[in-house]
Amino acid sequence: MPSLSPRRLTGRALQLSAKAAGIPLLASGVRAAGRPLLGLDRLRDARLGDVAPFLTPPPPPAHDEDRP
Amino acid sequence: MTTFQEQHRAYRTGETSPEAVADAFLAADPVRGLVGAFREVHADDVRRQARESAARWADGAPLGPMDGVLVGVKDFFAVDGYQSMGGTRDLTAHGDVDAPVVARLRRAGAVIAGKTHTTELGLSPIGNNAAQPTPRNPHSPAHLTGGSSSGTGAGVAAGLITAGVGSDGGGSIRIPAAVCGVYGIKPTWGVVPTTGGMPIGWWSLDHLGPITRSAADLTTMLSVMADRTFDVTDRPLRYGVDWSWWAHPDPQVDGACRAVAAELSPTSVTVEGVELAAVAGYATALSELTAGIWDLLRDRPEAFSNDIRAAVAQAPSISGADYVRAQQVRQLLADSFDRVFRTVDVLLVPTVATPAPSRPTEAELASGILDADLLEAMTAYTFPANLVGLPAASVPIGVTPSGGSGGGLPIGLQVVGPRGGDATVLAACEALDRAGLSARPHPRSGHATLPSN
Repeated sequence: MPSLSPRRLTGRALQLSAKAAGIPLLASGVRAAGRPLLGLDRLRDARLGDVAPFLTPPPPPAHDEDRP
Repeated sequence: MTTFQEQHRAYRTGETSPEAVADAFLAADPVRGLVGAFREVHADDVRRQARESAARWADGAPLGPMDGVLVGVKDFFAVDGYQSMGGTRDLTAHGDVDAPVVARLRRAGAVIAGKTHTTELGLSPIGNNAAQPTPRNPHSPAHLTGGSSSGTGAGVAAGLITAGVGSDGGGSIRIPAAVCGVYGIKPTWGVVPTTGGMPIGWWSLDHLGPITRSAADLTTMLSVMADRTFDVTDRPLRYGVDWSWWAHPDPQVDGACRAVAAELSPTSVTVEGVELAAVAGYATALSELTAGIWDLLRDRPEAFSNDIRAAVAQAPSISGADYVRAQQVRQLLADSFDRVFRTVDVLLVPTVATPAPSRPTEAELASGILDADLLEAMTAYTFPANLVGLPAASVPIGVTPSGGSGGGLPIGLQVVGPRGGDATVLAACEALDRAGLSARPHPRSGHATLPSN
């Protein structure tokens, strides 16, 4: 199966990759396609410590705090 | 190149008029001519707005700080009379309503010039698009503009428009601003409303902001878009650099940025976890984007180009735990930046690690491109501010040395501030302008913004 192992894909190779990996999107065989581009192992291996999920950035502080 | 101040002076003195500026813009064929920055322009609507602005200037009663300024709007955001396509081949949204930010610009007198190109779904930071025309870099037609606000960056840099609306989920305002040699700011999360955009899933990362030709114009336009004032002072600022994050960009980018940074005597700091920002950013962006276009991907995958399909096809390899860990990285980064900003006011880092990428062949553009090295080079310095919602701006500081095939390409320096410190970032941009450390290059493909009456 074509994968994203090459760092640059275009033309026929990209068409094959998209077809193999994406149609249907959630079909088996997709998983191998993503790893080289995303490098998820770095995320999985990271020591993140005791931190809580941060699902969106917090809202900005009040206007009067916004000064150099 | 013209700024708001120069444009308004010319209107006051009668040297030119909003109608003449609009006519010159339309004569330049903003869709097909010059750099191909616009997807759609309604000439009669532009002339009508310009005529109304001209009447206000003739009465000595401009509406606001952007009266008669031509503004392009990235093709994700609703503009009355236009549909939005988000860089796709045939998906459409909106048509009869203005996004809140567009309504604010109109209230300040801006002339909405039309919809500027974006990369497909805003995903490519390089500037290529297989589904819609790919704008050309005004400094070199053989190079790309950066993305995803490709048309806004190209249009402002070429002088077709004095300012434009961009959006930034991983660097998409700052990257084209840097690569096209103009100014752009991504404000703090929540400062500018993102409502009125195409609902495609850039949920927790996306920010709206201006691209302009001067730091002062950034301040003015961000104030309009945010509907508030920013207390921008000229007191001395404390600059910081994380040399580990800065690392090893292209030598020409490195040299130019280091030269400016050296003038500001920065303190060395460390942003813990910044090396995880890219993977956390892509894990978040691809998960949210895929969720946002889920039904379309299931029912009509052919609506998207091959490179988009190949990119979002990686989403299933991102587990739920991966997504949550990416959010934990955001917390880690937020805490790290908070610590750093106790000792410095702003951080400096190149905006983009490489000058403008070469423009691929038309065949390559049509078939799509997915280049992991370029993705990393374009976003390594921009993603952290999206993950944490920090204000960050790109300031042009010159061009690559001429002589080689890549000579004359713009270089941008990024200024990152603390959450809510938009005024501090704007103050740093204005300080760079005052100190003569910024350098906005003149484009090869330029348009005379201010014709004589």
